[in-house]
Amino acid sequence: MPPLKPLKSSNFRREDRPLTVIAGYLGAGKTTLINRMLADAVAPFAVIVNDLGALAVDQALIAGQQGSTLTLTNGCACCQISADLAAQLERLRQDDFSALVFEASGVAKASRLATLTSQAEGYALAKVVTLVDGLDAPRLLSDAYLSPLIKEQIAAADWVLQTKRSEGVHPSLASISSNIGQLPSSGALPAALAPEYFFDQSGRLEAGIKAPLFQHRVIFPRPDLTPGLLEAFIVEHPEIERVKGWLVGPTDAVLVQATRAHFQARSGARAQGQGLQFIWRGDAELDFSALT
Amino acid sequence: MIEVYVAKNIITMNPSLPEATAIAIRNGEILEVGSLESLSPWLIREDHQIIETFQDCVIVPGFIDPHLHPAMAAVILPMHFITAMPWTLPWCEVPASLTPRAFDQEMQRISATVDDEILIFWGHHDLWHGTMHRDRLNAIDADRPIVAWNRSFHELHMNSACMALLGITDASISGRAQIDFDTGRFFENGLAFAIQKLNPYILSDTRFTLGLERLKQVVHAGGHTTIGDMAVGLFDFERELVTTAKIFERADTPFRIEQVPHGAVVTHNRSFEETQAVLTDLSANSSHRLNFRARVKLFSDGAFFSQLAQLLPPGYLDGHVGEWLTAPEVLHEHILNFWRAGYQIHVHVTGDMGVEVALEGLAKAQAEHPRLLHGFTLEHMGYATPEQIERAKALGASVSANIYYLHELSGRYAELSVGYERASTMGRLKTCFDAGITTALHSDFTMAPAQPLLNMWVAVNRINAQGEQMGPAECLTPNQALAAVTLNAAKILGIETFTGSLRAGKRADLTVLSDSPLTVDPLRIKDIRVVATVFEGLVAPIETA
Repeated sequence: MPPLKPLKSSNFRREDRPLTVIAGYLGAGKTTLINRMLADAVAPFAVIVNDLGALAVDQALIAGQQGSTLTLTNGCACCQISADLAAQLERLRQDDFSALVFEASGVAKASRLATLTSQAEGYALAKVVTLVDGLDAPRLLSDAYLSPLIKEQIAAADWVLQTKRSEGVHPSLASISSNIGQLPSSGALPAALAPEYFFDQSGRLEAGIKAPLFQHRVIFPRPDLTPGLLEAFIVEHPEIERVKGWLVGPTDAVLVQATRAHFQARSGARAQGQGLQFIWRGDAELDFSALT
Repeated sequence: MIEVYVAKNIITMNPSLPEATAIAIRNGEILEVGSLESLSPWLIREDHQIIETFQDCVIVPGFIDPHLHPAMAAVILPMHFITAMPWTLPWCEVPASLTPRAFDQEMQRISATVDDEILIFWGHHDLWHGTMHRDRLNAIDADRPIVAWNRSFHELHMNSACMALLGITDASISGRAQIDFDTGRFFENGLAFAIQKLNPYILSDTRFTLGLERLKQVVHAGGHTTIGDMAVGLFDFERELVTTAKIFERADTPFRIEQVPHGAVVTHNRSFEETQAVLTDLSANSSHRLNFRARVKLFSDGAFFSQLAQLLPPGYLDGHVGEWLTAPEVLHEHILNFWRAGYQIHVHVTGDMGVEVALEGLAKAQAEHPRLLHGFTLEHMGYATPEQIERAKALGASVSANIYYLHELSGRYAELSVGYERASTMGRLKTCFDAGITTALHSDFTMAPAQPLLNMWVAVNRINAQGEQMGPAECLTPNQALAAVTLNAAKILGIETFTGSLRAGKRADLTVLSDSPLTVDPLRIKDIRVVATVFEGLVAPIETA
C-alpha cells in the first residue's frame, strides 16, 4: 500500500459521522468492495448508492449489520434541489450506525462529489477512494469520451486502488499516478478501508475548492463615465485582464473593448447595450464605486 | 353548431394554403380553413355563428413548447419575485426595484401580505440592491424565517429566524466552505448545504401544488396549447403523476401535456420488459389532457448553464472538463433497448461531445435495426458542429433547441467559457433548417422564459443580453421560427397528426396574436401581444395588465 495522503485536521467536528466516497467508473468493482466492507465491518455503517443502475449491494449483509442502504433517484442536474438526498441524509441521521459510505455514480467526478458531500450536515468527509479496473484501464485511458473522467477520478482521490488485475499496477495507470495501490482480490481488506478508519484522526472539509483564477462581474457605469476615465481605471488596476461592453451616455453609446495591451472605444450604432463586463485575476474583490 | 372565427390574417403552417381569413370549428375540430366564401358549403348546411372577436388579430397554430419541466417550475414559481427588471407574471406585476431601499420596501410589503412558513424572495442583485446581510433580513422581520435568493440562483442569505428553524448553528457550519454564518450567506458549494436544509420546505406539498397552479398560468400566458413534460420523474415519479393529474386534468386547463418519462428513472431496478409493461400501462391510462406515448427521455452530458457540457477539443478556455449524466456505454444500451421497442427517443445533449455520443448510439441502432420516421431528437443542442448536423440528417434525427442560451450566455461564454467562435455559433439552427432537419424551439422552462415569441425573436435576430448580434449566418427567417414553435414542435412530440398546423381535420388549437410575426419588424417579434388561445375549440382569453 502506498502511504495515504495527509489530510487536514482543522475544522473537524467530532460529532459528525465520517463519510467515505467510493468513486470509479462502471465495472471498477465499487459494489463488490462495499459488499466486502459490509462483510468485514465491526460496526454498522450505512450505504447510499447514487446511481440509477441496479442496486446490487447485498441487502442481507446490510440487514445483518443493522445498517441502511438507500438509493438516490434524481433531482436537478445542475444544483442540489432533490427531495431524495435531503430526506435520506436526514432520515439516516436518526439511525444507529457509525459511518456512511457513499457509492458514487460511475460518471461522477470525484472532486465534485467531495465538495458536495462535504456539505452534508451531520457528516464529515473522511476520504475519497477511487477504484480503477486494471484490466480495462488501457481502453478507458485511451477513450476520447472517458479518459478525462478517469484521470480526474484518479487525481482527485485520497487513495486509488486497482482492481481485477493481480500482476501489479498496470503500466498505463502507473504512468499517470504514483499513488495507486492494489486491492487484494480476496482475504481481509486493508484496515484503512474500514469506514470508521479516519474518524479519530482527521477530517477534511474543504476538498476540491480552489480559489478561482479569474473573477468576473458586469457593472452598469454612471452616465458621465468617459472612455478616458475607464482607461485610467484599467491602468490603475493591473489585475484587470479584459473589459468589454457599453458606456451609455445621455445621448450616445460607446462600445469598449479592452485587454491589458489594447484599449478601443467606438461609438455604437445602437444604445441598447447592457453593462460593462470585467474579468480580473485573483480572488480579491474589485471596488467599482469610482465607475458607477 | 359551427363556430367561425374571422381574423385579419390566419397563418396556417399548412404549405398548401399558407394564409387564410376564416376558420370553421365544430366540436373542437377544424372543419376548414379559408375565407367566409370558401367555407359556405359547410355554412349553408349547418347552424353556425360567425365570431368577430378576433377580426383585428392574427391567428397562428397554437404554440407548442416541446420541452419544459413543470416540476422544476413548481419549485421556483412560489417564490416572491423582487427584481431589477420588471416581470409580468400572470398573478402579479413585479415592479422594477432599482435601489436597496426599493428592495427592502418590497420585502416589507410582501411580508405584510402573505403567511408563508418561510418567506423566500428571489431576484436580489448586488448591483442594484446593495449587499445582503442577515441583519438586513432581520430588520424586515426578526421572528419570521426569511430567505433572499440571489438572481443568479448560486447564492442566498437567510435571517436568524430561518437559521434557527433549519437548525443551522455556528457550530454546525463551522469550517464549511463558502458559507458565512455571521452574514447568513450561502454560495456556490455552500449553497448545496442550504438547499439540503430547505428542500423539505421548497418541495412541500403546499408549495409544490401552488407552483404547478402558477405554471398553468405561465403556460397559458405564453400562448401555448401543448407543452411537453420532458422528463417525468425528475424529482419524484409517482408524486409528479398524482399532482399533475390533479391540477391539470381539469376543464379549465387550456392546454395538454405530452408526458415523456425520464428513462433512467423508469428503468431503475426493472428489466426492460418490466419497464415496457409500466410504460404501456401509462400510455393506456392516459387522460384527455395528459398523455404518455411510446417516448422516452435519456441524458448524455451535463448542464449548459453550469458549463458541464462535454466539449470536443479544444474544450473550455480554463481547461476544465464537462460531465456525463449517463456513461456513454449505458446511454447506448438504453438507446438500443428503446429503439428496438419502437420508441421515439429524446436525448439531452448540450455539448458537441454529448451530441457525438448520442449520434453514435443512433448510428449503431440504425445499423442493427433500420427505422424510418423514428423521431430521435437531440434536445437543447447548445454546441454542435456542421458535420454533426449533416450526420444527424442522414440518420433521420430531429433537433429541439434551447436558443435562449444564445441570448443569455453567448456574450459571457465568449469571454469566459469557450471563446467567440463557438459562443457565437451556439444554437446552429439555420444549418439545421438548411439540412432539412425537423427543428423546434423550446424553453426548458425555467431555463428560459416560457414565451415562444421571445424565443422566436432570439432565433430570428440572435441578439444577446449585451445587445450584440452573435452568428448572424445562423439567423432563422420568421417563418422558420414560427414553424419551430408550432408544426415542427408537434413533430418533435410525435403529435403532428392532430395539432401543430391549421387544416381540416386537426384539433382546433389556436393562438391569437395582436400582430403577425411574419410581417412585423423582426426586432419587435417579442413585443407582439398574445390575446387569447383556443384549446380544442374553447377560447381562453389572456388578461393583460
